[in-house]
Amino acid sequence: MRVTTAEREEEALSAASALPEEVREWLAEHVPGQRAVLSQYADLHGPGHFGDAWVVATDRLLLALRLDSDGLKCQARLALTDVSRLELREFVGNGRLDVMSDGTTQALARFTKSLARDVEETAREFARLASEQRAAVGLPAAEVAGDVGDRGAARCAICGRVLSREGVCPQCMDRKQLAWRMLGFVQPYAWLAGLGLGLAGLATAVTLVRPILTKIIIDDVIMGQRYDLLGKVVLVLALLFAAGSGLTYARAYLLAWLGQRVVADVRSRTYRHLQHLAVGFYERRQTGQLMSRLTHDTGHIQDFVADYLQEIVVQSFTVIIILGIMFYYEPKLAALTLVPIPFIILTTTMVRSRVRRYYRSARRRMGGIHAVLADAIPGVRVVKAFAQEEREIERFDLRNEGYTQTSISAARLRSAYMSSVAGLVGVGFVLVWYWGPKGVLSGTIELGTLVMFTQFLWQLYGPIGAMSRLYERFQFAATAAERVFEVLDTQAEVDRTREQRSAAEVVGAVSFDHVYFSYEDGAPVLYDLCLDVAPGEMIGLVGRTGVGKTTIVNLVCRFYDPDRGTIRVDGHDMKEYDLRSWRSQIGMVLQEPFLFHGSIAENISYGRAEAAENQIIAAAKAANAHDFIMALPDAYDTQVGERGVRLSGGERQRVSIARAILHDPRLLIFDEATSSVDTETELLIQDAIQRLISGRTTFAIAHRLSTLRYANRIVVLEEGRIAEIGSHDDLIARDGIYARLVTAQTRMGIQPTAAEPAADENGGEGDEFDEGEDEA
Amino acid sequence: MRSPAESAATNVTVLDPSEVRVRLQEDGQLELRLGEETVHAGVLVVPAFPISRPNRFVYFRDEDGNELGLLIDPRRLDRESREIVLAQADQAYFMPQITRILRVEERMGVARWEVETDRGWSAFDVVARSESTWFVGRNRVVIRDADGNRYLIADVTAMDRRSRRLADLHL
Repeated sequence: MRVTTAEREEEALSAASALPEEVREWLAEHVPGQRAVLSQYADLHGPGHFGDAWVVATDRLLLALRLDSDGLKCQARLALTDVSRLELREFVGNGRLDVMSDGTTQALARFTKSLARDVEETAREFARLASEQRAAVGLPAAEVAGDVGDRGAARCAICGRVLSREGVCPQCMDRKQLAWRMLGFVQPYAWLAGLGLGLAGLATAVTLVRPILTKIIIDDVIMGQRYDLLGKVVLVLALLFAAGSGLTYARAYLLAWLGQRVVADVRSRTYRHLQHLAVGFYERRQTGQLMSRLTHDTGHIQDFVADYLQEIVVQSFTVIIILGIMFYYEPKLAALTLVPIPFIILTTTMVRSRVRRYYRSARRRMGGIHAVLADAIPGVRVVKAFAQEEREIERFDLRNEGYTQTSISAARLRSAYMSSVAGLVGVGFVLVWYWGPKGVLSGTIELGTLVMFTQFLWQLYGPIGAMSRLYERFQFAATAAERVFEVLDTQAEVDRTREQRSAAEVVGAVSFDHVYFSYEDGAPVLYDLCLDVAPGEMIGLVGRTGVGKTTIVNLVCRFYDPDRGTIRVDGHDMKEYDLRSWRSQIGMVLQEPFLFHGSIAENISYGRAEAAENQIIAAAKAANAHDFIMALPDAYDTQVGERGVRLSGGERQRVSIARAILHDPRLLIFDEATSSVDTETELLIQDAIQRLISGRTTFAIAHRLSTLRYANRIVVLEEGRIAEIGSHDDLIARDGIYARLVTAQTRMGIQPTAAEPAADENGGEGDEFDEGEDEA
Repeated sequence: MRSPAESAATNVTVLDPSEVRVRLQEDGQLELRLGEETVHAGVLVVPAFPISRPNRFVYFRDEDGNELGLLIDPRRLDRESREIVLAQADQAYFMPQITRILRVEERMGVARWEVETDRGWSAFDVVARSESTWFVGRNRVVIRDADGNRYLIADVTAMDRRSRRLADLHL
């Protein structure tokens, strides 16, 4: 890749601006006339202390600088043309970048794991710079060796902070925007939401009128001796109570309905979206987490809609109205009631965060208790066999004590909070009770007003405490919403802009034309893969874990697209085919056959719901599954899956083979279907497979090489490249990797397990081949 | 019944400190001399109990990963060898010891720690997970930050009051 002068210029500028003032000054003084072209920060000093250090490449030099208490020191200085090799070394908790020139090695930088990824990337850039300079004087390119292992935590793309477990940046989450987006969910029901909030406001207003009526009774009816008013006032009071309860019911029902409705929409939209997302999205996330987004997180949004909005309206409405009324009647007395308010807000916000810490800590410790139990109870035989009961009890007591301590601390803080708020409210009362009666006696305040004030005080301080807690609740909802939006904002996989060709008539010729592929982390998996597969041909894929077998299958299914190169189907670029139409031509038999919850018949006809019963039976027969199915009491209607009858591994495989046979695809993906069954069952399965693959283009991943005896050609992969290709006999004759593997497995195969049909599992497998998951 | 080859693999080869000489070569490689004649180059130092017995029980391994022997106490080596071995062990397993906790702030399950360690001031992020912190015995705690760096609190109870309180809340 050539870098233009302009780009180089720009790069130099950004490298220079990334360096702090003192480094730039040092460079100006010690290497005058040279610009910093590239730099990398490091956070450790040689002997293992935290400290600032930089590796800087100028036009000609590579420098290692470190900042000591008495200024910058140059640790290493060499000409870029002398850099023959950069080496990254990985250790626990730190790493080192070494440079080699003329046979000597110098350490350039030490860094913690947090910088490992950056350093690795920059090291390649340093090598590129050095190589360019060396090429000019006829020296070979500088190379980079080693790697830094772990790729570090997921970080926010904007601010670089570590993301939370849910994949949200605690810093950058835009809460205001989230609030608007959450309101967007309510929009279709805006009219009802408005009505609900209106009712909430009205219900509040009704409760606020009561103290005013109390005042009228005292001042006008009792003190003013206007008994004619009493009937009216009491009637209004009764009506208000009735109206209040009616309003409360209407409001509660309406808002609950709204919350449920909105969250049902969100759930359904999110699920619909999830179904259309590319496989890659799922591979980066845990199933449990995604499930919790649909169930748990949407619940928080419901809380926002049904509760939070109304709370804001009601509480602020209450406070404003009460203060309005109080200031209207007695401004001076009203001003006194304001005195405790700032203190209530302050205490609440202060104590809340501390109480929250304790609760969080208590939750975590409860988790610790669970962990001890989850260890010791299933392992009780081991505990007893080693007579370690006392040790386990001690372990449990330690955790139990820790949890109790934290909970007690939290309770203490909470009690302190409650009592201090009560005390502050008391201050308000004391003030009102002192100045109020004085005013009443001096005739400036009416008695009824004073009584009204005391009633309002209770209603005023409550909402203020509640409002200081609202922000925290909003935080929950916002976090949840962020996670849901993350799903909704991820683009669905199909791009429908191109002309879509139907795959209904494909013959099944697949060709890989110089295909390169890497997953997200950038580590290349396939290099320059070229392979032509004829229609109906069976290709066996062989190689170690991570070598790219599953990747080839993923590309054939178009779960991913190649980085470079094309995959052609019947001579057309695979991307021209309609995605769904193409996938419907693919059948899969996986290592861990997946059965959905439902009957066996439903599982067999999964890809072809319209299949007739006799077709289902025919497919089951072809898959050698019919006999065991008929032996079950519910036969084809037997419920399987999570909550159904547990089928054995071999039975599940045969059901999934029947599914593939009924589906009748042009192309078959086959992932070592016979890894964990007894010999007899294996024969049945092999027999079924034989029927399934005949006439279909098949890609088979196999760990046990005997599975591949029907393969037309076997592809041995090594480090993303085809190392060997040919028929079984060709490869044996060649006496290469494949031949070695076959010998190894045969040797391992001469073991008692082969003679015992009932002993299943992996007796016959070479240890060079995993029977577990591939890289996917 | 063990074959002779197996028992060689299961034997613990303890090195006699008086026989061990360790030097750093020109090219930065570690050289291990055992007795008079055996010399290994490109040797790696691997602590066997880095948390519970730091600076003790150190294994030497050659470039191909073969074990050369176990050194129980590097302090009994000659001075130069000792310093090299300890520095190499420290690099192989870098775990600063927290002496004081200055601040811990947790937001959405990510705690930002600011600490003083025996290696200077440091700040790091810990994602709330059960694997992030673990106790070794009653009072010794290992913290693993989000990037996989490790920090050790040798004795929680030996820290100052504020540090203890913060540790109490966040561990």
